[in-house]
Amino acid sequence: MRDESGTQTAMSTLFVFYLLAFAGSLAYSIIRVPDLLARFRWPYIWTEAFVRFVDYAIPVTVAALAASYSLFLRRGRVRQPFYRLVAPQLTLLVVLAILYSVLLLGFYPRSSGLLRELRVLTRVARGFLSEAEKLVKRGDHAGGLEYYERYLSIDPRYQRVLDRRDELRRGLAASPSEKPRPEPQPVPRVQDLSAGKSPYELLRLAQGFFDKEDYFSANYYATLAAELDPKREDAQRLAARAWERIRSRQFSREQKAEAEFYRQKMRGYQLYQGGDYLAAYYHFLELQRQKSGDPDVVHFLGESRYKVAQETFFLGEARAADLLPGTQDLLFVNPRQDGARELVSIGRMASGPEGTFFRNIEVVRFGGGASPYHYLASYGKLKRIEAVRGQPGSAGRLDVLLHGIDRQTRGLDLLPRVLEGAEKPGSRELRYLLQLSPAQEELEALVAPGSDMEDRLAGVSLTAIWQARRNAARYGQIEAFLAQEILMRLLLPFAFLNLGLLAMAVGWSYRFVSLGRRPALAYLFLPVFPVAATLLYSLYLRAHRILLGYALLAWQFRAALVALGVLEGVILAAMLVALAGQRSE
Amino acid sequence: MLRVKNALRLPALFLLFFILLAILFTGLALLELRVSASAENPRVLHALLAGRLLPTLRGVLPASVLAALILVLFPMHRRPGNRFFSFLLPLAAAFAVLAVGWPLLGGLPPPRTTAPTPARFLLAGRIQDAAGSVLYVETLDGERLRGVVRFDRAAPSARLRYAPTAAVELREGELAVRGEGLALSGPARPAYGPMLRGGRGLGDRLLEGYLADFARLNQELDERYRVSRPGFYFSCLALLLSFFAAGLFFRLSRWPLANVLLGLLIMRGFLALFRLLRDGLAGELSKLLPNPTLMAYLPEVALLVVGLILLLVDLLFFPFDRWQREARGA
Repeated sequence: MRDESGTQTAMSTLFVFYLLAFAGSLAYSIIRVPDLLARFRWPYIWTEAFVRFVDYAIPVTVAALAASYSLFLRRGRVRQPFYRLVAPQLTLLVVLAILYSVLLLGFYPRSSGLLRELRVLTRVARGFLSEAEKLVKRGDHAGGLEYYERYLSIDPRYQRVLDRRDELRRGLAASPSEKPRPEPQPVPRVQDLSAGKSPYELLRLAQGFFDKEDYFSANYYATLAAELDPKREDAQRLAARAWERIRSRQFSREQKAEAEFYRQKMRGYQLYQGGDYLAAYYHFLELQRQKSGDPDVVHFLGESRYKVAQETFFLGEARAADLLPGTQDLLFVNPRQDGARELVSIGRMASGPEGTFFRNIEVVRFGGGASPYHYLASYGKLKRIEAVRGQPGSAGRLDVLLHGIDRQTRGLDLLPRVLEGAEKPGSRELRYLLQLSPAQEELEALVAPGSDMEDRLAGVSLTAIWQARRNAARYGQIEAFLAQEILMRLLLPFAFLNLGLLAMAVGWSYRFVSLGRRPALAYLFLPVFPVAATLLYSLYLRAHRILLGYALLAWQFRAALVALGVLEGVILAAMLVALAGQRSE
Repeated sequence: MLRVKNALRLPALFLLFFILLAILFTGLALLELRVSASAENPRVLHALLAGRLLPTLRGVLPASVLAALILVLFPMHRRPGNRFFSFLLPLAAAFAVLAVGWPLLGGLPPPRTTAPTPARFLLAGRIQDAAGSVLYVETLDGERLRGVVRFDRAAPSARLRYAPTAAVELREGELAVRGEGLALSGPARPAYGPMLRGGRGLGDRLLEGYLADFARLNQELDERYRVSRPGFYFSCLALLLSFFAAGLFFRLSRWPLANVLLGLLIMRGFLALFRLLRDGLAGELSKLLPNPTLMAYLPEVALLVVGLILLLVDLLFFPFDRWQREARGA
């Protein structure tokens, strides 16, 4: 079948060029692959090939269209006006531009981020391995085993480490003094019956428990009712009666162990009601080890864990987040309401099923009349405080919990280390909490400047950059950098269209002028097309970079955005005119 | 008669292309400067832009002349005129513009510029690359800084360092910041400079190569002009002749687009050859060629010889109206 419209020719040429470009990107990625864990090697190669392919998609398209129009579409085959010849291919170009935009704005940032992440995970895994070997050499087999396990959670099929881990496990199993600690299962929070209830309803609930002789629950709900409405003396009386029943419970001599357990339960309950949730959590955890299934213990362990999670985080979860994909080197100004400023550096941020965790947090607080305060925290967990509905002045906020605890053992807390500060802030809130001004969506765009800043921004979605730009100045970022990144990303689909149209016009205008066979030498010249197209594309981007930079700094973002739209519209119109001006004969 | 008329319009076209390109290149270069120095005090910024106008015009002159000469090749081959005039007139116009424009623009005294202030290199209330490090400066008052925090990515433990006050000093292209427990220095780079930084892809490298070659060419022309006027004119002639003679490649085959790309590639090669002979191979060749005058003019001689050979080949083997003939034949 004759390809009268030339679309098939254009598509075939584009297909061959894209195929070759992807093969070239793949070959480049194979040659240039960095030193990675073996299991990351191929995912890295494929992802890098995709990233390179998208990087060069515009010049490759331009080269393919120029080659197609100048060499393969020939005057002899085309017996129709040029506008008819070009119309279906304009549709093809628009479709390709849309596909390119989807790849660029949807998949490209994620892929760029993944490349970085695979490099970081390799470094982290090798750090674990080296630490494990160091600990084993020092004779700390349990510690070594822990680090081998952590390495294997990144690279689970590495036989040498698997063997080493099994060997250590066998050794530790044989030695009673060095048994590895089992990781306890997380305790689910028992359904809290108090949620959304009025003091009257709580009191009725408490009365019900009292009647069923469940005095701990009766006291708990009666106390809650009294807290919600301090004027309710009946609630206070019921709480007092329930406590009296708890206190006065008698045990026979044979029930000595049971009595002791009951006394411990009372102690835990007192800790909980006294607000020392951390102590209560460890206390009930110990009681659960002694007697699992006790309903009071299960209930108050869940409750105290819930309360603890409002102020602290579990270190195991934070360490597990080291293995998740994340963003490196955040640096931003954190303005505070008291007039002071904080410069916050975060080594790494990663989100997983347990929440968002930070590693290597460092804060310098200064200004606002207070003396400087400088501290470091190895880990932190993001906590979102939702705004209370209907309460005026209540706004949601983000906190970083800086107090890490061990899920199982008391005393292994990880607290911020103060480096400078004549006076420690008095309240726990100031010491172990970092209140964040940026929204979570904005955080990933607040990266520290540096030579690889552009590379790192490439891994950030357009939405995140767009949101971060709005308040960039508040967070100490140079707004123009983020704004320019947005404009340059928005420019690329236009560049695809405009340069594609230019390639069609120039290709047709300077087409092969013979009806005879194309000489084989012509095919040898085709590799020059992508190189020339790459240079043209770089020129186009560079000129836009200068113009948009000026527009941003002189007129601000919105005007620059409009200027970009107008400029690209004018170029598009000029390209269409250039294309329409071509003759088919 | 029509052929002579076609040839006569070429110098006018050359001048039109040259003016447009010179305006475009100068405009872009000044905008680039305006962007990078945007943080500067407005009075100093205006003085800086006014002061840089003539040097920028002079800097873009060779590139504009060569690019305009290349653009003239397109109408020249589409509507071929008298061969002799078509070659001579644009070349003479280009030579006149370059040989007169360069000394003229160099001779005009540029307006006095004011010394840069630290505001160009440090932004208050922003985290930025400055003085060879990453810095945050709360306020900037002349040369006094308040609330300075340094971020050191490579530090093993604490990466932030705070100094309540510091002083900034700008000397010979170096920016130094000194405060309590803080001593930093590094090249003074404009705060908004990163907005102009391109990527590291193939296209950017090619473009940088072009710009570097033109910068080297400007330097060479300047040196020639200062040492000897005949030498300067000889350099201009060799350069223009070789570029224009490479127009031969525009008519090499029946595939005009490939011809144009090949021609541009060859011209790019001339710039690279010029630099290679001047910088790369000069040392080696001086051992083979003991004549210091010949050595001094080796790149120009090489370009002139190549240009003359191309011209000879063009005259002997390539009909001047080949595009028309091919089009008619097809």
